[in-house]
Amino acid sequence: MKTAQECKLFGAYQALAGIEDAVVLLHSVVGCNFGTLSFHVPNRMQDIRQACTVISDNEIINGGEKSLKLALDSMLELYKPTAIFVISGCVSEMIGDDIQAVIEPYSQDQCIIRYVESAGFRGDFCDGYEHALLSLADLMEPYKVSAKPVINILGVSTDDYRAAADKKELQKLLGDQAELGTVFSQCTLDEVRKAPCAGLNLVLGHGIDLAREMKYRFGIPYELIDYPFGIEGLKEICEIFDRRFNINFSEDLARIKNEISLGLEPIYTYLQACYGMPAAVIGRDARAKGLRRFLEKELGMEVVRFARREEVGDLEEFYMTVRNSEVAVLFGSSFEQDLADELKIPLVRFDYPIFDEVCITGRSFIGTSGVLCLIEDILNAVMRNRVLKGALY
Amino acid sequence: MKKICIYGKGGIGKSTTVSNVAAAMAEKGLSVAVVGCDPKADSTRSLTGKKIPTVLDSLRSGQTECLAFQGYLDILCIEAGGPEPGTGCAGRGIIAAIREIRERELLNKIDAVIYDVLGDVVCGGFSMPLREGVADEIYLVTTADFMSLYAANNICRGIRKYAQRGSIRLAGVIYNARSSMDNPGLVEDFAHKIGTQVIGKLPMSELIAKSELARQTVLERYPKSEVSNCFRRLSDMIMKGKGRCIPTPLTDEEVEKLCRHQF
Ligand SMILES: Nc1ncnc2c1ncn2[C@@H]1O[C@H](COP(=O)(O)OP(=O)(O)OP(=O)(O)O)[C@@H](O)[C@H]1O
Ligand SMILES: [Mg+2]
Repeated sequence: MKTAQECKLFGAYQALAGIEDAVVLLHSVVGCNFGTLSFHVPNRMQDIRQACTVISDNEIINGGEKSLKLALDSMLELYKPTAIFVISGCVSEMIGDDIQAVIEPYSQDQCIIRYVESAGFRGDFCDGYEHALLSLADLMEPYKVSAKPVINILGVSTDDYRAAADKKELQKLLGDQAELGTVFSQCTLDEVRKAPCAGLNLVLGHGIDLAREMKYRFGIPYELIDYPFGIEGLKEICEIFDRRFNINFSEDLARIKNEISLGLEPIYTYLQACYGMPAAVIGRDARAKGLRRFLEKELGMEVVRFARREEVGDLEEFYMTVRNSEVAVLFGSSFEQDLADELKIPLVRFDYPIFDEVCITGRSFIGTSGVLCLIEDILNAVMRNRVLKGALY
Repeated sequence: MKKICIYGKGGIGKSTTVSNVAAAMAEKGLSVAVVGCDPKADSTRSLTGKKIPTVLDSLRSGQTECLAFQGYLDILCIEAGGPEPGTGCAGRGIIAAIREIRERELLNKIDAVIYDVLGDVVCGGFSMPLREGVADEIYLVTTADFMSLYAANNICRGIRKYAQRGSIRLAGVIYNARSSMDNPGLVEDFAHKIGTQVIGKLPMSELIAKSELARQTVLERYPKSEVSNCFRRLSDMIMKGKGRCIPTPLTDEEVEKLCRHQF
């Protein structure tokens, strides 16, 4: 059996490690630190703000509270952070460390220290993500809603593929008419604090618990949308702005459409080969659904195998259904490479975790350039493939 | 070397049995060791007259020169100890302590070692003495109360698992009359049903409580008493050690039925 999702600790890490002036302390064994780092490093090597108490035999027997205190002291001295998120793991929760009691005495300090329970045996990636993101609600302060419409984005993970570039594209789209508020969690602690000044929370699949909480505490409405891949994705966001704030983006949308068709002109014949090409998509909720919409509605591909990671019990079962299909191109994470190799089909990476690729050019996957980049990646992956499954040439 | 361990429900008289049986063996000139495998670390109190530092205390503080202490009649006393309540894993603590005892060869010149193990088999750590090479024989202490027999039966399930894989065996039941019910027949029935026999009986006695307060064994405090003789007879039976078996535990319903039968 292969699990389709990482454990609760990874979810919590993905929810919190992206808060730029905070640091994450994993109160767990070294493997958890190694694992989270190995997914993080290819994405943001210059930005490592995490440490681990490296629980071993001695802590398991005698308790890990001393080590936790030691680690907190060292982190305060070395990083001088505005906040530390203490993420527990299976081992510290099993041996019963009283983490809250250890961090309590630090509450007088300038630095905010929060404990986020994340034992792997108590939940999966989604549980960890939701629970950790929700814990940020306590840091928020009531702000008066600003004059210009502001929207927050919820559901972006620290190491989400191309998320930083996508954020910039979104900002570009909104132009002067609206403002991108806090992107959870690629933001600063101050932005977290000020998140209640937004007029709307856009939830990209995950982060729904925090969205509900913010609605309850600050009256901020939320909308659940798929990841805005392609023109359809942007259209959905524009419609929301129209409906909620009476802002019309139709001109911008038309311009983007035009730019995209101009950009695609030189490769038009290749694009035709995408029609009816059988594809398989596996990814987390909003990303998987958003990509499927793009592939089917805009490229005319046929997504014959589809899975939301959250729903997959045994990854092998999904892989088996892909094996028993005509799939010519696979969309997924780095973990799907073995299957792609086995089936001799190309893999297009689009969803966390991606750890076998770097990106320094800031290519996004949404907006004008994003759509072009994504199509470029798909075509190149198919064309590079040694077996003619894609039937492109 | 005779290697035995005592299991039974919490508070049923294990530590009392262990220290007094150890004293009885030592009276016979045997060189005896008691290893307390309970985070409470009270197994050897009546042999040493005090609470001795535990193996884990020593490992924690780094002062590891002395892990074993001489008690009454030179009985070697060791307490595994445990982490501070609420943190750490007591089970792992027992494992670490037993490893330390082995590595330092503390039991090399001993004729008999008795392990006093906490209440139920709660985790791998507490079942440590059941594993290969630590102990050979197990004795179950029980009263005639349902919950006590129920616990003993549960422990048998654990024993059976380990016995099927290795050489550890159940060697008998010790009946402690410390209860509102005195029903040796019931305990004998139970023992037969699980494939073993009652090898010793302890009366309910004030002398046990008094000795405990004096931090002594009954054998030291009241050597001529009938209770002391009971412990002596029990220790002889244990040293003879006949009738080792892989227990056949009952179902929960069978234990209930057995106990209801007496009324
Ligand atoms: N036969 C008896 N007559 C009178 N008192 C007894 C008798 N047996 C045990 N006791 C008393 O019962 C109490 C519990 O006994 P003991 O500490 O030996 O139990 P235990 O099984 O080791 O408990 P634990 O599971 O907590 O380690 C003690 O105070 C002891 O003196
Ligand atoms: Mg005891």
